[in-house]
Order: sequence, then structure tokens, then C-alpha cells
Amino acid sequence: MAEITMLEAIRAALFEEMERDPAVVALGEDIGVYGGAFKVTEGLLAKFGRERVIDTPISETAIVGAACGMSYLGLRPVVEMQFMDFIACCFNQVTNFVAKSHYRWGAPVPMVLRGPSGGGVHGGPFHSSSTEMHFVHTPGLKVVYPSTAYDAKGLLKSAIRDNNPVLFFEHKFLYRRIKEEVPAGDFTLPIGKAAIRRQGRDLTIVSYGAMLHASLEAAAALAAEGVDAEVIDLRSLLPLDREAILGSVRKTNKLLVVHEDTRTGGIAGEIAAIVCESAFEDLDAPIARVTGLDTPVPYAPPLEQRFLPNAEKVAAAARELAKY
Amino acid sequence: MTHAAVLLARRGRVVIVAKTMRMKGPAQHDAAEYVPAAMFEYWKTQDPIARYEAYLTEHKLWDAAKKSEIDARIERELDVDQKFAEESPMPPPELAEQGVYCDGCHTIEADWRRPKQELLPPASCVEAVWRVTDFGAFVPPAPAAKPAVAAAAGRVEKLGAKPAPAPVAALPATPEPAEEQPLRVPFGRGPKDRAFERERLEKQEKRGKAFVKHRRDKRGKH
Repeated sequence: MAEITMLEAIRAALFEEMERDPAVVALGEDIGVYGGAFKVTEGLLAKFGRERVIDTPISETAIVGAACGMSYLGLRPVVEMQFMDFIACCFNQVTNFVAKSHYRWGAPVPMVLRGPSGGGVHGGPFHSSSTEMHFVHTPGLKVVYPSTAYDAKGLLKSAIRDNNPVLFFEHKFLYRRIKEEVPAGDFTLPIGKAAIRRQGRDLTIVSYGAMLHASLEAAAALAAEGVDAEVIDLRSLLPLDREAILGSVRKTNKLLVVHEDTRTGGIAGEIAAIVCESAFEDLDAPIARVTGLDTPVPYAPPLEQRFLPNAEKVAAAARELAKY
Repeated sequence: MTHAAVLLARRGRVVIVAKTMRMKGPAQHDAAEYVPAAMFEYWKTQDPIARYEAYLTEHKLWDAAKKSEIDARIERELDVDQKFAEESPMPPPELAEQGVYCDGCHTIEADWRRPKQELLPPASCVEAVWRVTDFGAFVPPAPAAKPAVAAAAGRVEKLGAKPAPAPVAALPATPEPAEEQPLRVPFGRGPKDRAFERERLEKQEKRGKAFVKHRRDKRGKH
């Protein structure tokens, strides 16, 4: 087994799924001839041809609308948003049409909407947003956010085979920075199952995406100080694996939620509510959170560093929580 | 061309469509290798800056010395600005938290080009009713010599008069509705659609059976 990057894992999933099922088609801006802004879809056009790998005009609304029509005709379109920030341009198609289609008309939309998300690469306010929570708030969609190469491949395959619209967030900071051994063949991972990345008994850190790696780094630093943190990788934000979170909190009695997304309305709020509803008696400390600032993602490096959570910030919050 | 457009614009409203060509990739990382070389070659000949320079030279409005002087001045300005940018300190991290909202840091005032009074009552007052008179209303065909409407022709026929003569290009008659219209299921795959189809079949079957029963009962009685 070879070590591959998260980007290569996503590409492998696309190739394998398109090979397995001729109903899988890819469409998006510059995904064909150019191979995608991040080269995720490189080689796809040469292998599968123009009918199945479609370079679209620059209109996210048109892309998602077309993909929705394709899925009504039995295809499984995989749409690439060049940057997940641009999904705002097709907000109506995604939330009013795709998400409600099965509920209102009994018409399933087996679509995947994938793309690079998040900051940390000096992309500025229009290329670094975390847009996941707009869609976690939209019933009818599934929101998947892998943090490892292995998960990215297995979850993307599941997303493509899912009969529902799945938003697949790929953290662009992780694209080429993480590497691991990923099986070359076919495997899938269930959507809606969190993973315990590190066992611990003093406190629980819940995170996803790039911040999972900051959380793991913080947990490693804390271990040296005698604080034993459990780290949970959500992997999917909608559906949310309530049991994994509650089970861990019942064990450690302390919860820290870490996300890069802005603080207000981030997933930490929802998780805090779930824990208060179902495991309030098990809590030994107030639920803490480390998040992005309530601002757009700034461009200048020192400002972006200020915006983003990192291992030090997570470790500092976890230390406070452990002391409580 | 521009001159002609300006002259045209001065006579009234005009839309100018100006086709442009991006001669480089959108960013440093993109060498625009996907653009055919011939396309770049063509657009180089259309470059308005190069053409303007050629125009200036041709009409002796400048010379090589003047051109290099202008170029040098531009380079100097760019160098100064680049130096300023590179020598400036990085902004303080706390700045990230500022500027999301305008808390009175700006004075917002419209650039009025006409009296504000026009937009305030009473000048702004209108009678708030729909003014569209013919929207959706049936407008009967004018009593012209040629009854061009198929419906009109049908009416004439019904009254027993002679059908309208040939010149009337009568619209094709509406086809008789088929005995059983094929059910049009918009998506045909969801559970709700299947239930809809099943319900129809069941109803049909029940009606069929009831009819047969009715006939049998009738026969039995006699």
C-alpha cells in the first residue's frame, strides 16, 4: 500500500466510482481540460470523455440546476465547487430545490457537491470560508467533512452512492499536507459515524476537518503534561453522531469543541445543546469551545493566524478545562 | 470606433458591447496554457495599448524618447509603491477583529444629482393601483372581414351557416382526448409516485368488479 495525499485519495475515489458506475458524471468549472483549480480532477476528462466530465460555464446556479436535472434522470452527478465559498451563488438551488426535492416531490437527488473549503493558505475572505453550517441547518442535505486521506476516499465513495444530496467538504489546507496509506481498491465508510482518534479519560475534544489535526497535536502536548484527552473526529456534521459525543462525555465528563468555522452558529453550539439535553448530569465543567473569530477570514498572515484556531489555542483551552 | 460610439451616445441612450481578451492567466500560478497560441497572436494585433502607441507614433504625437520617458516614470512609481508595501510592517493581529461592521466609522450620504424633494411626499406620491389594462383580459377579435380565429369559425359552423371559406388558415382541430390518457408521472421513481399509480389501478379494478357485479345482480333478478 502506498502513502497518498488527501487530494490523491479524493481523485482515486472519483476515478474508481466513475469506472464502477457509468451513471456517475462530473461537472464543474475548469474540471476537464484544466484538471480543476487544485488538480483534483486531473486526468478525468482523458479517461471518461466529454459526456461524463463536463466543463461548465461560470454559473454555480446553472451547474447545480443541471446536476439536479441529471439526477432526476437517474444519473449521479458529482459537482465541483471551485471553492466552497462560491456555493453561496447557488444557495437557492441547493437549499430550496435540491434539499427539498425528495420531501416535496418524492424525487430523490443523488448528487454530490464537493469542493475545497477552509483557510490557512492565505486565500483571503473569498477563498477561505467555512460554509458548512449554512447547510447543516438545511434538512434534506447531508454534510460530510473528512479529515484524513483514508476517510476522504471511503466517505466520497459512500457520498456518491448515497441516494441523497451530499455536501462533501475538503479542507484545502489538508489537500497535500497529510499523507497516509490508503487501500487501492474499493471500500466505503458509513456517513454519520464519528471516529475516536485518540482514547482519553480527562476530557473530550470534538473536532473535524483541519482542526482535528490541531486538536490531536494539542492532545499530544497535553499528554506530556499528564492530561489525557480523548479526541473525536466528527467526519459527518449532518447527520451528527450524537452517540459518539455523548458516550465520550459520559466517560470524561468534560467537553471542548474545536472548529475553524466562525463562533456564532458553529457546530459547537449544537453539540453543546445536545450534551446539555442528554448528558447534563455527566458534566463536571462548562462546555468550552475554540473556534474561528466572528469575522470573515482575513488575508494578511498575522491576521489569519489570529483568526484560526491552532494547537496552542486548543491546548490552552483544554488545560483550563482540565483544571476546572 | 470609440469616437463613433461617443457620437452615437450623445444622440441618446446606447449600449456599447466591448469584447475584451485576458492576455494572461487570472493569477501568477496560471500561465494560461489552455488558451490556443493562435488566439493570443490574434488578440495581440487587437491590443488597444499597442495600437494606441502605434497611432501616436504614426501621427508624430510622440517619439521614442518620449515613450521611454513615460515608461521610466511608470516604473519609478511602481518601484516606490512596491518598496513602501514591502517595507511596511505586517498589520497587528488584533486588527483581524476590527471592521466587520460599520459602527459610525463612515458617513454614508448619497450623491444626489437631483432634488431630494422629488423622492419625498408629496412629490413621490402615486395612486397605488395596477395600471395595466389588458393584462390577462380577453380581447375579442376586431370585427374584421377575415375571421382569423379558429374558434370563431367553429361557432359559425354550429349556427348552421356556411363554414368559413378556405383562406382562413384554421388552426388544427384539437385532437379528441384519448379514452385513457397515459398517466404522466413526473418522476416515476419515488415512493409517493408509486403509491399514486397503485391507487389508480386499484380504483380501476374496483370499478371494474363493481360493474360486473352490478350486471350479474341485474341478470339474476330477471
